[in-house]
Amino acid sequence: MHERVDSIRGGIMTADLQLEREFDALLVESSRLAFRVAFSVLRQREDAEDTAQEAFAKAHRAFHQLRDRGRFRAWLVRMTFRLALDRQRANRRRTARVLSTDHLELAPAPATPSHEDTERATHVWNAIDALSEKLRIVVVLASIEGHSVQEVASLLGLPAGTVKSRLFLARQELKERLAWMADTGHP
Amino acid sequence: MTDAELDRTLDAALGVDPSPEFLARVRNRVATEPTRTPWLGTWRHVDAWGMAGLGAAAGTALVVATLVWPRPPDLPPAVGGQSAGTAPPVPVEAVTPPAKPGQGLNSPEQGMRPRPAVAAARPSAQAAVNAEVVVAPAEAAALRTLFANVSQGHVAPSWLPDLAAPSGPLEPIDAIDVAPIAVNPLRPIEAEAGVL
Repeated sequence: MHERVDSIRGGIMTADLQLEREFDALLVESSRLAFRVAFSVLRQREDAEDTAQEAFAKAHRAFHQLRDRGRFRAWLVRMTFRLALDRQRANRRRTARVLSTDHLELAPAPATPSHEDTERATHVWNAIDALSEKLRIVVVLASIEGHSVQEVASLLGLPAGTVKSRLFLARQELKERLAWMADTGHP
Repeated sequence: MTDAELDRTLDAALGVDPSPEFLARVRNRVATEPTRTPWLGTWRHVDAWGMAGLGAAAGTALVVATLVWPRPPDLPPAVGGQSAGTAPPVPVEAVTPPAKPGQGLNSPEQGMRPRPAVAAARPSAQAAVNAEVVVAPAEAAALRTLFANVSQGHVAPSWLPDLAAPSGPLEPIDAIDVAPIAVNPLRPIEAEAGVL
């Protein structure tokens, strides 16, 4: 009887170990994707890393429920994006509260050689932020890691035609908002 | 702005890599997560354990029901040491009633054998003779307990009614007084003017 119990326990532990190995392999494969998705929303490295880490922790907790391992990246992307949006809203509320209570004024950036790059990046990010969430996640996923339309559709669980039209609309909006940069020779 | 310029701009904005220690931090975080109960294992194991548990519960319930449920009283052995359900088939010739002369198609004069349906009905008639007497389980259990107590001397049979002794004279029943019913003929309906 004891041998049988030990055998079952050993089998379960082996399965758990295998599960951990599977998760670690997917973690290595998807860590940059999760970070970039979070960074596309939060624009701060520390915040993005914290958010991606939180997403991986949640994914780990529920990993044994995921039957189709091929859906892990899509699952992770959606989870990271939602967490990043939540964090962004929380950051905005906190910032607004601090500004309203302390009446702080942001000091202008110093005129260093990288000032132009900083300004350009700010404009690009403002343009990305102005996109709706549906358009933003599509253009972000298509831009990072060179995902194709089909891959983005698979990640988001949407029809390829929907992704294609959203990507077109997003790029059109970005072009219009950033057109002045091309006119002034910024890019 | 052209597509190429937009792609370059987006690459520059989004092409940021995490810090080198990011992976280690995530691994550390995952390692410090509360682990699942080892005995529960994965959902696949939960499924297997659930099925095994259900099987064990069903088996236990069956055993308990077999032990607790009152059994029907033991039947006396049937004639010839066989129960009614396993009564041997009765030979057709032995139960076929004697045929009358000139009876028709089944008459012995024409050499016809009885129809198979009739022959098949004979063993069931024989089985009906040895049919199991159905007694309510609770009643049978009570009778068994009574017999056991009487045989072991726990219960004196003196108070039991002597069914073999003739009963005493029955008391006369009081006469039932039923009032006679008076039947009066109905009066003829008076016809209204203009109706009939």
